[in-house]
Amino acid sequence: MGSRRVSVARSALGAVRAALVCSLIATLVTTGVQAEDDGRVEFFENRIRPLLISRCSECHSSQTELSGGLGLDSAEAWQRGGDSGAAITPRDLAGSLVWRAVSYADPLLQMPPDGKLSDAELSDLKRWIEEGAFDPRSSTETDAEDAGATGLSVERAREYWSYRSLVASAPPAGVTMDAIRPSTPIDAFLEETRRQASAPAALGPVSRSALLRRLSFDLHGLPPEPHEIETLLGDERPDAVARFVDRTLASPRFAERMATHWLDVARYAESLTLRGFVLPQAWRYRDYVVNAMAIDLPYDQFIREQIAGDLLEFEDLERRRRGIEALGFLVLGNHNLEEQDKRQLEMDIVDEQLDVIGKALLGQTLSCARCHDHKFDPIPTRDYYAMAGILASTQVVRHANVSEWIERPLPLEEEQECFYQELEQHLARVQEELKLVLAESTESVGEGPLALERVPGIVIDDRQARRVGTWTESRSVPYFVGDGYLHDAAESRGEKTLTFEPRELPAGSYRVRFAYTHGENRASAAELRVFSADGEKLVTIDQRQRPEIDGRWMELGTFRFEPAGQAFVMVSNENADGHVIADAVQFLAVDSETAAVAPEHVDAETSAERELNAELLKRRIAELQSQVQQLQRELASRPKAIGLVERPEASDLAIHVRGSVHRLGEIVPRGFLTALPATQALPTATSQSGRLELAQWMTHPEQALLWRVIANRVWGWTIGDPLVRSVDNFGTTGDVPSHPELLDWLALRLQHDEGSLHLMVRRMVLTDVYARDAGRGELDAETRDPKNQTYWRGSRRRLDAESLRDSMLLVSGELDLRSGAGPLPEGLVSDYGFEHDRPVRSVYVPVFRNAMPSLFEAFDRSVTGLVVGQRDRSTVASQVLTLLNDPWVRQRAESAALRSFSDELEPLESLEPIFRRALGRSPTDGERRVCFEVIAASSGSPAPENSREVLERRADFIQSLFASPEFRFLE
Amino acid sequence: MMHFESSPSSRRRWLMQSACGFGGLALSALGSPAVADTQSPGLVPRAKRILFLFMQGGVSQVDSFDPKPELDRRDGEQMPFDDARVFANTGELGSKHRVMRSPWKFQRYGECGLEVSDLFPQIGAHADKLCLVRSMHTEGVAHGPATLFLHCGAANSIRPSFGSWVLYGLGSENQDLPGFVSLAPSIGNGGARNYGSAFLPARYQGTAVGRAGGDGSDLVMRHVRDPQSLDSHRRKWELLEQLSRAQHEQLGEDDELDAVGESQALAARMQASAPHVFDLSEETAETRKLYGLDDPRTRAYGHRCLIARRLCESGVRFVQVNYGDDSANPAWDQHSELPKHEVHARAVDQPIAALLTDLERRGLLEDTLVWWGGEFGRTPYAEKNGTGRDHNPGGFSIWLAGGGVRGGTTVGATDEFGHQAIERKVHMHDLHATLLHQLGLDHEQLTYRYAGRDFRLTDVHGRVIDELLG
Repeated sequence: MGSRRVSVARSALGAVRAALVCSLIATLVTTGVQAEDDGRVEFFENRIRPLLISRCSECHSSQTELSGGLGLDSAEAWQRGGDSGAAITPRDLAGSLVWRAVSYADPLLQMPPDGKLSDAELSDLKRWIEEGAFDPRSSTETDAEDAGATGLSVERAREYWSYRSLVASAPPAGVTMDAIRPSTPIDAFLEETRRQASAPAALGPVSRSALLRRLSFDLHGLPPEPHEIETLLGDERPDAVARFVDRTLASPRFAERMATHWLDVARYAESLTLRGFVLPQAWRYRDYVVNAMAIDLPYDQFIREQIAGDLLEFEDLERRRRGIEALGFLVLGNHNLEEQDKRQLEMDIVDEQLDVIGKALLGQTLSCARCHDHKFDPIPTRDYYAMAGILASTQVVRHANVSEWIERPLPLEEEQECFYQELEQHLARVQEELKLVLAESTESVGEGPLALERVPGIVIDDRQARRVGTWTESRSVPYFVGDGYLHDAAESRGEKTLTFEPRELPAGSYRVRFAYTHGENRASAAELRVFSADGEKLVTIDQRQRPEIDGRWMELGTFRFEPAGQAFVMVSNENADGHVIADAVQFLAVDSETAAVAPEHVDAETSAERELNAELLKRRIAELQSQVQQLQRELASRPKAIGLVERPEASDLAIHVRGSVHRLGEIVPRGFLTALPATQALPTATSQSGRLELAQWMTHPEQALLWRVIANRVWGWTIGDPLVRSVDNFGTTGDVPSHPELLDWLALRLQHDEGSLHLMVRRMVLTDVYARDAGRGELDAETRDPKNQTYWRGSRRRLDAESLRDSMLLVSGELDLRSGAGPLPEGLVSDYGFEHDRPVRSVYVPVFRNAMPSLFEAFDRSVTGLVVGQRDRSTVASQVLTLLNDPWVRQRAESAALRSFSDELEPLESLEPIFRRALGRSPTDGERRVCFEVIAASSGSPAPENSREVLERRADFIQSLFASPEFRFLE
Repeated sequence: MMHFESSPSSRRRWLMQSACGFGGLALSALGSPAVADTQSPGLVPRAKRILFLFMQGGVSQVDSFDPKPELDRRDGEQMPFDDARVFANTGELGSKHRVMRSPWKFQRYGECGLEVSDLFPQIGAHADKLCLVRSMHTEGVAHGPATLFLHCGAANSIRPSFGSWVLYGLGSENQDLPGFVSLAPSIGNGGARNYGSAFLPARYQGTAVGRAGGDGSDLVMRHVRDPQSLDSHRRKWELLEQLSRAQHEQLGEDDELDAVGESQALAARMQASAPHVFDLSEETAETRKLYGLDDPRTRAYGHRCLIARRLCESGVRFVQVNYGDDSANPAWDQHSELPKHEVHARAVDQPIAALLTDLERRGLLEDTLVWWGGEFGRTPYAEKNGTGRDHNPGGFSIWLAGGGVRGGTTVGATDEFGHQAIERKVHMHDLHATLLHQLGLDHEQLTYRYAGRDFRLTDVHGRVIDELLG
């Protein structure tokens, strides 16, 4: 059948269809052709053939697109059927999928998609199928089904380079060219290739100071400190650069820089686009990555922890804690938690996880196999669902109208653990007492009518509610709010509603309360729905019980309301087993504590004694309520990380035909990619998801892909152009390595070095190729190797968004290198309009999808939610405009001006340190001259009325420097 | 060369593979004028640009463009319907709901006799220009998924937005302005993803100007105005110019650095011309009045519509004029108190009518394809038996005008209640395919190679709906 998705879906249908398909396949023997019946031929030719051509063949013909794999242009084609099995079973109308589709009985399967067939057409088709579906057409396409299958099979996977084992090659010895002797094995590999390819002559090294600047930006994302420049330029020892590199690698700045790269790969973000939900614990994953880079956690361990850190055995607490924090990797996708079809949402999440695992770790486009076998790579759909089964056996969200992500408490020292346990017990005790006191209070307070003016907050009386159906006004139980209350007379169930909607409700969080008068004849589960920014929430209330608060109110919960968003409570008499009563709805702003616990004024006629008693109870209630709040706050401060949990029972998944959650096929056992070495067995116990085994399988030394992918990434982070240009795609549609032996040598070195990324980086930067000049080469060099695949020249470095920001803050003297980010501001619910004002390093700037600093947006630091192995490198006008006109940049320029110029120094003298800090060199005479012209007005003694202009001119100078090419690009 | 990407491979490779060679593709987004007549073979572009009037939240079709007398006859009756939300949540079909009539009357307009409700009398007056589709259907029961689906052709997966596909396919006609502008977009329900470029190069993403709920004064492009004094502005540019010249020698030379120089020149031109496009002071009193700028009810949307016309005149390829807000239940989302639709209708009816008038009299309507609609429609029955209508992705109305579509026609129909599209159903993918077709782009050819796969706006779906086309 057609593959068009439909908007509605039903879970039961999948199973029904799966069963149906099986039975069809079982009973499918033959065959339409029952010749020599002229009546049938005539009927087919006159009625059926034209019908199939006019209404079906646009999509279901071998001449067109065989949508859903189904052709209706020959008997063979419909017998074979499409993804859902045979399309027509002769003489079995109910068993024919075609009939099911055209009769529009199944909302998931309606054909033709642009409108139902006419009654006459339907009746023809019905007759045709019932009479045996005679079809004289024979297939002209012999192998239509396999027409699309051009990809590499699992069996032949090893024919492609990336699926082969790592091959150890010794670096070519003694290669020389142009009298340059390669100084490292890496250079030897490159020289060998360059010689064979008769590539352009390699350019020479950049100057020592340019190299220093290059190393500093590549490894720290910051310009070198002026004193480092002095030290290195004065150091004549042969290993001066190596010493500098070692100092650089040991710095926390290096870990931050490496983390920046990895967080791109891990599509790290701290909020969701949809509704701007802030993920308050996501930062722990970021800090985990920074720390892993700082301690040089072995790469394979780093990956194992991100896949299954909660399942690994650790001796010490610190590592157990980090194991939980690492799980952020699997859960930080930009999900659509509002999706109403929750099975769809779960599979979308699994798909996103597979996409990230595939691209980030293995360079494989796994999600291409969600709907069909991968068209190009050896990834059958079976493998996709085998791995999906592992991930689906882990829970990532809890479902609600808008589903919620999971936060896991982090393991604590025993003492702290006890502290929180005691808090919990204390809370339970207080809540118990509160319940008792409330019960007592409902016996003694709240009698008599309560005037609307006395109710705190925003209150809507039943008389202001919009009515659907007949509601009866009553005052017979005398403790109502306002003028009385309404009831539905226990008639016309499901046909009456009341809508309580404030005329205006300032945005914010509110406790919403509902007033009713209780009684024996009331509904035991009256249905109320609260419509808020978080969607619709159903609350049922037992109206036979006294309302808990003051004997009048029941709290429906705390809800968030937005400006211009929906804010109302709807009372319905649907499913009621008694009278439904509605008296009033109250909205109490959460932040106004006083309003929330404001004592209600009891009417004057109540006796003094009762009043006193009531007053005491009220005070106690208020006390207990505030204790509950306090305890809950303290409990909430327990350290947590965003994460996931194993489901109590793991299970295998069925193949989802065409990726649809409602079209289930065969169940496949959980497992791994069959094209890769089977280095790991899966647990058979249903108590384990297999995630731990997935982590172990993937990081096995025999999994060449994992090691090649990371070696290639590190090469890209340091040298510039990666050996495999398609860093996230090592499949057959990706690029092939320019230097396969070198890539495998690097991958094996990494294994040999016990997964140390520090050593890998060190190896790469202490090479000839790293230090190579980035300019133009000999005349025809550009034409002979325009893509620089032989690395005859160095890569032109540019400051990425983070380096640009951090450099400006460094020049302005504002960069705070001591702090990380720490937790987000408490109570931050959404990212909309967030002001990024902390001068911490860019890696610690919250990654908010709806509130990226404008500098980041302009300089290709976008957060798409996709794995980004390599950022765009755009050079567009808006970048210049941002640098010259953005208020944040201006503020940095002004701060820098205030810091760099002083009255003691001649302005011209001040230029020197500014240039040194910003560009790592002294200004030329020409630069001195033009810069001086700009700041000239500031010479002499500035009168107070001039001081504004003085500052403006100095800031103008610095801002121009920020915008200048040498600040943005390296030599 | 205006732009430089380190991996120009995908686009260039695509271009080389494409036998016909989309002329426009070779040109950059903010770059040279597109060559509109060298697009897909056999496809004659009928429109140069799209102007999308986004009615966020979901306008009720049975209260606007799809009259259903059956609702009057059976008002208040409880009947079974296949409700999309109930179905997605529970799998239940045929849940019972109370039929709710429309509080608005319908009138016939124009020679075609199109029936339009009293919500939109002024748009109704343009009936003979409108090509109404009453049989739309789409994906997603909630705003987030459906809004993303409308803009990106996918409800959850991260995909480029319609405007960025168009910009990628055709480039911009104006050197000094962004090619894709979204006016006053909501930050909610997908926010920036609705004008984002996902895996397309970042330069194809839309430029958001202003914010939902803004009064018009916010409709200024970011960063094209220097907040500093004129003197300061001049000083900075002059010094930058001088520093750049000196530094190019220091840095050495290559293509990438050449591109920096060109981007500076372009920035200077943008800064000189872009603010003027957003400045309405040149407009006559008559025009301002036409768009309703003198009336507080219509001023905000009128302002956006007038800017939109100026952007169209300046050759911006894709202009989106949003009517919505930043809440999770935006603008037209009347789950309760349906009559509030009237407030929104009053805010947009006159400005939209003015836009159609203005585009026509300036000769812009011919090659500007106007698209009016929301992310889905609403149910013909009361939600939860209350006083509003719930979301309905199964059947709703949109209309097109100008840009070579057939005016004064109606395509498709919903059932007798206006609930599900049943005749000549038009899926959102089909609408996307049709709109691209009018721009001379074949939706099956407009692909981008990402992660080893050729992606398109319409995924593996979409059919051009010929009945819409003149």
